Amino acid sequence: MIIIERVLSGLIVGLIFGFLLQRGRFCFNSAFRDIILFKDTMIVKAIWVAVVIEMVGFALLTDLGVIFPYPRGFYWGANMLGGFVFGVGMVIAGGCISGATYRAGEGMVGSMLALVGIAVGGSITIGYWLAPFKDQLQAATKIELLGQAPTIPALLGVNHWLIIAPVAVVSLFLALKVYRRTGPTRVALLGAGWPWWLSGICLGLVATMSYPAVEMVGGTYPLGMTGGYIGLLATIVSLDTRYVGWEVAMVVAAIIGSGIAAVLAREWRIRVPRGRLLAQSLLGGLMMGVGAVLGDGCNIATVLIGVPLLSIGSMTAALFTVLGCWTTAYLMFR
Amino acid sequence: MSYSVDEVLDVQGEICPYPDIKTRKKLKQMKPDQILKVIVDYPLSLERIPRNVRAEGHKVLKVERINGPVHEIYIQVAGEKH
Repeated sequence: MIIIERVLSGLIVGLIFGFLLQRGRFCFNSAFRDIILFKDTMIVKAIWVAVVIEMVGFALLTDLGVIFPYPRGFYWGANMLGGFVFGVGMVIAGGCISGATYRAGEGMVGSMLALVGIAVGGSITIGYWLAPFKDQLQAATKIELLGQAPTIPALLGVNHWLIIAPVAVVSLFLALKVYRRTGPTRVALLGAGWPWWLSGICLGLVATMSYPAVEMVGGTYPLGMTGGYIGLLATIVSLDTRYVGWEVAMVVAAIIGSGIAAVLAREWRIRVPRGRLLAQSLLGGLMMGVGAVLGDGCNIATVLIGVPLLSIGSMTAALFTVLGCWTTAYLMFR
Repeated sequence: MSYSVDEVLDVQGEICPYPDIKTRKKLKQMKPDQILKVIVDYPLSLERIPRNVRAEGHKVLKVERINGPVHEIYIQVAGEKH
């Protein structure tokens, strides 16, 4: 049975999220990889702005009693291995999960194949032949703190503002400094990609608001995309609508939202890479699917939601995603 | 204004970041002051290539929209090799 309000909430958030992904070029693979490959920090600056806004936003909403966040657990072995495999996969596929989503919306067939790979890789790890390995590794390396998922403030036994306030103040200072140095950019909302500060602020606000949006309809964790693609595949294979929830609606709407942005910006085009690159996209997607389920989060669930919640598990997975990305980018492109 | 182009690089349909990598490689093989035309249909590379070749000392002469996301970037190789 389809629960209408869940689907509607997922569709609305997904449309806005997808639109922003395309306008801000939010590919976490490009963001991390370009630091070492081109010394280019345009996208990583936007992600940093978004993450700091969410840190403050989530803490504020929690203190006001609006949301009751569930940071993801800490399974050090699974977080490290899963994160690393995800990081390797996104370089091979030429895009992370949000990157593949917005480029599929732009008409890139390689990215569509990467999404298929993510759904298949995620499915075999969540419920089929890789599931026993995932369960054992997560159980064997699971660390809890008083029966809960460990976060930085819980580990240190301090109020979360003691961590968040200094990070926010230093970030604001640095962001203003960089903004002054690069100067105000002319912004065309439907022209080229948005400047880092604009896309970062918008993504941070939307991601923050996605938390109450998902909780309002009974969810516990917003914007995670792997579950959405796994559910979408399950729906198509089984023709059973019970998999259609917030996440499935959100990822489908995100592809449509980025498609709308691409059409309006005159950036939409069906693009088909040559055969070897198609195979590469599929293989990278498979690795991302496996890595995301094993490490308990794709780049969106870990970097965009888990890191601002100060989850130690998500931070570990995010760190190893970056390490996997840098290692592979160095081997493939240097 | 049209330029006398020495080399043409078509990177349409490539996945990220091959358009950028191939452009950089091509520019390294070319002689100082030669002109390269890159045909690209990938929006992120369209923004990133001019930014990064400028940082490497080359000159971006012109970026021209052909059709939708398809653009031609004209790059002049740096006067002396970096």
